[in-house]
Amino acid sequence: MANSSSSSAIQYQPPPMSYGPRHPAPVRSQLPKRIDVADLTPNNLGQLRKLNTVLFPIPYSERFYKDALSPDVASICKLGLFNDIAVGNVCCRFEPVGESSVKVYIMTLGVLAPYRRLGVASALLSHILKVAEPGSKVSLRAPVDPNAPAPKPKKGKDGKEIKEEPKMIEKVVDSIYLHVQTGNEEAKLFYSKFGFHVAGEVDNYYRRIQPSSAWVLEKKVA
Amino acid sequence: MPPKKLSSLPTKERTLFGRLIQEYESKKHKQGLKTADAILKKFPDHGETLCMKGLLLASVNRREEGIELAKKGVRFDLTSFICWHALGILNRMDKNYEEAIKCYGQALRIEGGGNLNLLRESAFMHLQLRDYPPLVDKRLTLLKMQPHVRSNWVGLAVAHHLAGNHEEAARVLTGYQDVMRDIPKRNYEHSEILLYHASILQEMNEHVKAEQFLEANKARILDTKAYSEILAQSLAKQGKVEEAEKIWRGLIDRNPECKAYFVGLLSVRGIDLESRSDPGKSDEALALFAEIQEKHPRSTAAKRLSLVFARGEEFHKLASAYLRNGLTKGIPSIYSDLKSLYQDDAKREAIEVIAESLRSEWSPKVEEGTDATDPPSSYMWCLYYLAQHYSQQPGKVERALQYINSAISHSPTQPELHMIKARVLKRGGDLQGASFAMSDARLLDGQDRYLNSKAAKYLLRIDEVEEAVKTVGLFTKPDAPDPVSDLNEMQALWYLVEEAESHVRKGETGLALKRLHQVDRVFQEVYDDQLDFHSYCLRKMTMRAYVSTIRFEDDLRSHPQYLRAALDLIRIHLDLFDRPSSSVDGEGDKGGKNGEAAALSEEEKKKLAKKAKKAELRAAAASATGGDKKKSNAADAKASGNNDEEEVPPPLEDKDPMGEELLKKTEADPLGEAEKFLGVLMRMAGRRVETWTAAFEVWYRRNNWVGCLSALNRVKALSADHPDLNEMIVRIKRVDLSNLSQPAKSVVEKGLKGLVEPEEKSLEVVAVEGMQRSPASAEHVLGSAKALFTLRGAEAKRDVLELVLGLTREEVGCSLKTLIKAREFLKNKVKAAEEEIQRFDQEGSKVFPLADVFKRHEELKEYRRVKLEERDGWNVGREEEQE
Ligand SMILES: CC(C)(COP(=O)(O)OP(=O)(O)OC[C@H]1O[C@@H](n2cnc3c(N)ncnc32)[C@H](O)[C@@H]1OP(=O)(O)O)[C@@H](O)C(=O)NCCC(=O)NCCS
Repeated sequence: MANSSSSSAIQYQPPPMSYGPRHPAPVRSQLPKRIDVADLTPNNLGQLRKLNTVLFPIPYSERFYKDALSPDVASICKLGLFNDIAVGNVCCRFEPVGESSVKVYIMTLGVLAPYRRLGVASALLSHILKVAEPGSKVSLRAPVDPNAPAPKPKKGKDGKEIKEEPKMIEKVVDSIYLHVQTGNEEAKLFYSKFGFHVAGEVDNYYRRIQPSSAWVLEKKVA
Repeated sequence: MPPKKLSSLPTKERTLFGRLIQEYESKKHKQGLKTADAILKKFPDHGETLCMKGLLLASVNRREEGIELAKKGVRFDLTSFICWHALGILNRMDKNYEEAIKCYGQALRIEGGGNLNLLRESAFMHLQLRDYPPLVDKRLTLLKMQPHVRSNWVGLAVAHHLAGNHEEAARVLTGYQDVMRDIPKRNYEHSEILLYHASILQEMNEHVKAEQFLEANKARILDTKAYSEILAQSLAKQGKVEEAEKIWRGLIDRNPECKAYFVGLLSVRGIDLESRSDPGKSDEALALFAEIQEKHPRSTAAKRLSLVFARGEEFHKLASAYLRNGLTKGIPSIYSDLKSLYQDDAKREAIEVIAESLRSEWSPKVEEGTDATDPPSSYMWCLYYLAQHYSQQPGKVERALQYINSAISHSPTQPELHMIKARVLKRGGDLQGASFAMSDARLLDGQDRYLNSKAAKYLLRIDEVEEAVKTVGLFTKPDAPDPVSDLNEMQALWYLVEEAESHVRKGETGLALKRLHQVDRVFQEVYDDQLDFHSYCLRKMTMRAYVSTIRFEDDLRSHPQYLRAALDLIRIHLDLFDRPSSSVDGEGDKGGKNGEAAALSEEEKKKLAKKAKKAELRAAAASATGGDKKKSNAADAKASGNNDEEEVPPPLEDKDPMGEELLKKTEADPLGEAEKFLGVLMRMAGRRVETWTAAFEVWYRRNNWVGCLSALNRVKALSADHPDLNEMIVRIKRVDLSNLSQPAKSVVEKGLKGLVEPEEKSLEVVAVEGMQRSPASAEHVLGSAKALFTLRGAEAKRDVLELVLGLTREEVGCSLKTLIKAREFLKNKVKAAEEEIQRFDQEGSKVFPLADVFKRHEELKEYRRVKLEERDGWNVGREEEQE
């Protein structure tokens, strides 16, 4: 019989169950898009966990997530949003160098594969460079002397306790650095755009993945 | 409260009595009680003191005692204004408005009838009771006494209006406008009254008068939007098409997103949303929208309404643009926005074609340099849309699951995707998986209370009550004694009903009853809260809103959550009646095949009992310290010395946290209790067929055959081919009437006569009639199986089994809900053997492979373990530090 077509006979291919990285988009400036750098909070910490699980082969510790919420690093631990969707993150920490300087260590920086080459990582890294540019000063909470007597809680006029402003001290950012797996040329290319150089190689840096060696990428005062 | 009558007390006590009144009025309850006792010591029969003491007792939460005392006091002093007034106040506090009005009436008579306060209070209570003739009476008296008070005019007008006497209402309002001459030009209250007047004229279908009235008062009406709306309606009703259109267009210019204005504009031309089947009218509507869109190109309302009327090519074009816009903007609600169009199969199919073609347009490209210009977010929202689209089509749940899983692997952090995954799984019957997915959504966005509530609801669906309580506890007040009592306070009906139904499944009848009664109490509170509202609105003069609120409150219990709760309650009561002994221990039927379920629920019951005790203790402790901790400021103030006499009465403690007392009370007369709720449903939800099937069941157990017949006829009238109808007919036809008296018998027999046509048709035939309809739905086959079983009992077992098993055949297209009902019927009524149930489960899971009900206990346990592992895989960090 010819032509006994029914209207709902179309069979669509089911969608794929995994997605590779997005290709560079020549026209990306024309895309209707909004990229934001957002704060990390206890309420969206789940999104950070999800991102790390998908992005990185190594599981991070509970400690890592607790530290990421500390007010000390609020400016250098961020989520990257693309049209309001959490698609990437950057998490750094300050490492003391001598009395008056710190290094910024990038623990994680990553963007979900389908959202790459859209400028999200650039936005995150630019943010880090803005708040902690090597050579600039950052203001950090002074470490609390564990032997000092606890200060008496003060009360305001309304009877409420006033939290004492923490003492702040200024430190100079000596450099920003990170590890990437040896051979991750894409990451190297990406970081080199922002003035990072390979400063060394560490053997047996990774325990569970191959190759186990890592490049140290670093950006110093220009 | 002026003591009109001299107390027959000596001077010293008379002074004391004066102090007592003062102490009552300044809320010094404890001192007042002492003073009262001092008088009563010498004059134990002094009525007025007794009554005052009654009032004071009620103020410290001993209301019942107080009422008893005041009743005694009144008996000692039947001619005292104070006594009757006090007893009236107490009855009002007790919400016994009939009695309160009577007491106030006595007090008024003694005092000469001129007490404004008592008259007003009585009027409010008449309103609360919806007792209109005496309301009009009282209002008229008040107006005569104080014609210069604005609210007295309006109060009388509203009384007439609510009583259905629009003409009188309008006349009173006209009188008011004649009398009140000195009202300032820009007075909002007056403006509201004028609009109220106009809307009454409208309700009377006096459209010419309404128009004239509005025109004449234009300068004084400040709410110009309301003015235009009422005027446009009145003009349209008179057939003044052009004028009416002009006004609607003006309103659209002011707010091009208000659908009601578009609907108004269409109605002028005799078009409504139902006219979409009329091509001529549809084209007219489309032309109108196109014209408006030239002026307001961004109006989403115009675009969306166009989709209602457009057909074929035109629809394809408009819907494409609408969907593309919604998905690129990432509007999460776009599916629920468009769903109503799916009633039209052609439109549903067209939307599927459009969404699928957008998906392929936006899908990530494999070859380099070919990526489209659209962002990956659009692609994700498109998958999200399609998952919802497929999930509500029979047999496409698995396809929906593919789409949503794909979307999650694309954008795993997006909470909405996990929420939809939960819905898809729920529709497929995988309640465990659904709960995990919904909790994932919540874990991704801890700030969203909606997701939190949904996660709790899905936990309740798998009977994880404790987890659910913990989850809602993240949002309830931290100082509440426990999360559930806060939700009860906040009138979270959904929670109470869902928790109750979980208790029903677990066989925890007491707690189920308790939660469902809490639902009923919430509705009562909402209704009771009106009492303050009556006087408030009269002061504010917002009469249009007030009248619509009163009408809303009249139908309050037609609310779907009430219907659900009441039907649940009736079902519980029927069960209690049918097997009164089984209520004590939990006979869980969750999945049924697990003997552990009962044991587990026993253990859980103990745990719950402990928890509830604790919560109760905490509540008691909290109330002992004067309520919640937030009041610690007040406590501070107390400590600093001022105001230490004013006591806040503590909240009443929950004396029956597990619902055990309630269960006992219910067991004494389950049918009587059921009839109470049935009565409400018959009044409030008489148009719902469920009301009458429930009525049939209750009355059947009461041997009330006349009632059964009338319920049956209501079912028939509301839904002529209701699948349970034949079973009901078979059941009632088989009733043995020989014990009835002759007159009763003849009434029933007369009713039975018309049920089956032709009358000599055998019940065998009636029983299988449902399934012989064409096309016979699965529901009807099940109905016939039930009827057969009713007719022939165990003898029919084989036929019944065969029928019910037949429902699992793919081509029958039986819904999961009906299959579950069929399974319950097999298990509980037919008492089918274990192997037979297993066979049913095997067949069932072929049609609904995701559904929990057909899975074995071990299978579910393993599934749960895997899910937990998956969750921990991303939501819990590694233990040790290692860098
Ligand atoms: C590296 C990474 C963070 C880049 O994220 P992104 O959001 O795609 O980066 P941007 O869009 O901001 O890219 C900025 C520029 O970096 C360069 N770049 C980024 N990815 C590149 C790649 N795969 N190949 C070559 N150059 C690349 C390009 O010059 C790009 O600009 P362009 O797109 O205009 O050509 C992302 O690929 C990623 O998450 N990888 C996995 C995790 C990882 O390796 N992290 C680094 C270790 S912490």
